[in-house]
Amino acid sequence: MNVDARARASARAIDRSALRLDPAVGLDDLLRRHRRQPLQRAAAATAVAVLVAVVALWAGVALRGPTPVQPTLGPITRFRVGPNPVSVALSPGAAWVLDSGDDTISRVDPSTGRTPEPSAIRAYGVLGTLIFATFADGRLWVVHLQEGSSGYGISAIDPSTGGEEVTFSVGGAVFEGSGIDGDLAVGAGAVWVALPAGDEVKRFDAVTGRLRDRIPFPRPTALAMDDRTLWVATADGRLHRLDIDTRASTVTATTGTVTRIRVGQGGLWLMTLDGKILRLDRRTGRIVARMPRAFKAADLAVGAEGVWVYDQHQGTVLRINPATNRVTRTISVISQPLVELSSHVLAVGNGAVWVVDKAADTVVRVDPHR
Amino acid sequence: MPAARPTRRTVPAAGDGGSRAVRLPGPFEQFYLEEYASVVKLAYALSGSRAGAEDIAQEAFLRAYRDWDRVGSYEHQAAWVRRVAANLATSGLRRRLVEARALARLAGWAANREPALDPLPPSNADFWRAVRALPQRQAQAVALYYLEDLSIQQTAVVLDCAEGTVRAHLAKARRTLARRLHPDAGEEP
Repeated sequence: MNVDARARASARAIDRSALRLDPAVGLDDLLRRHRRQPLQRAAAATAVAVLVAVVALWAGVALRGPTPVQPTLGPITRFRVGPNPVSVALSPGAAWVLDSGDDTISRVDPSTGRTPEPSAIRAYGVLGTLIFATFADGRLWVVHLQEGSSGYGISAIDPSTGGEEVTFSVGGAVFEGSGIDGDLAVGAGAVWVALPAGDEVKRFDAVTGRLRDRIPFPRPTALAMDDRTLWVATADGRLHRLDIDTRASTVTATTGTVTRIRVGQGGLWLMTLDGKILRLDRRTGRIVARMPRAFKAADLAVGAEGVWVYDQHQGTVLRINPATNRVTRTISVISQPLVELSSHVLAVGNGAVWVVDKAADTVVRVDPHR
Repeated sequence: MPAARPTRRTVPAAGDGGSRAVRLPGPFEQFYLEEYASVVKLAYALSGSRAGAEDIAQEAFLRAYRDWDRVGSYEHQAAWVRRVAANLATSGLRRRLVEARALARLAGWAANREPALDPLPPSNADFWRAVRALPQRQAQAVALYYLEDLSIQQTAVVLDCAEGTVRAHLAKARRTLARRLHPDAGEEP
């Protein structure tokens, strides 16, 4: 059978597969979704208006005339990025935002203290559909769907030049879109990739991108490097400690399905699929605290600036005090919250908390001290 | 795809002798019911996801509905919604699916709803998997041309490009598919 005949046969197969489809069911859903929009739009407009007024007053526009060339950064500063931003990562002196709308990467330099014009943002549009990014070992690591294939790849970008240093295929799906996604960790000269569908964690050489090792784990969902330990969460709710030198693995806790593991601020911090935050002892891997359920976390970031959570329902970022394990600050930053099972919209570093505002095509810098 | 719709429905405004036109609401529901199944199938072919295809179609129609004052006046409304769905299905797909599905699930609209689409037989699934591995525009051209049975001209309208570009996309796609699906056979003309 030639391609033409096979294409027509496959088209008929799709027709047959849709016999149970009932458009009327979907119409009700659609109209209900649309009715949610006016309230969201009104809230967004109000938030933007308030924000504009605050920023204008703060920058001295109202009191001192024209905007200074390089105003000081405010408590909350918004930077315009590309369309449909999905992930933010921080390198020293810069924030990197993946724009899934046009598959470019925006580099935001906060030192100017002002929103760059779109033309001033450097964009790198060669990688294919962008999924998420993280910064580690001096390089920006970008997970993406590889152009022209259905496979996933990882690219390392030199933040000083924007140049792509190495790109390699991970040979499986990192992002399934089901909430049970994989993860990426960088450390000990390697890139570690959790592939839930493949029931394994793969270790790639961080310089060459070559596959060095494959370690079986049942549906691994999250990873974190902690010195010579790799923490691995699996979909069955177990947390594993893997000694990367001996490959010895032990289960230290049962936590529920975990989508983020972060190390810092004197602990091991976990976010679960249903939005809970747990604190564990780094030495024993045992749970020592469960955060109060006043929020539903969609992302978690830990750094010198503290422990921060993105609350997907309220569009707020919350600071957790590691001394008390309680929320000590709540800051509204998102104009139109997008409810997700998990996302990579939060990062801490460079003296600030950064969060992607998807609906407004911006990344928001929050000063944790003001 | 049905024939192009009227560009705009108007009636004379009262009291001005008919010199000024006032638009009537567009027949969105009718448009939706006529086109929904085709758009879901297109999204299924280009995304490979039974559940995701309905989300993509919903998102495309939701965008049309939000902007129906404008989209409803287009000559090629059906082409517009197909273009949006095809782009959603082939670009940034998975993240958008999570958002759409999570919204639906958390709002309690579609909890545990089984996909209405049935799985494809293996050989047909292999074909569409190979199509999805093509460059985006080639994949879209193949899906529109074969699945929707559009002419070259109609495909060009949906993709918003020249007919020659569609022919080039299809020719390249056929060659690549022949190589991947029938590696032992000679190259397609």
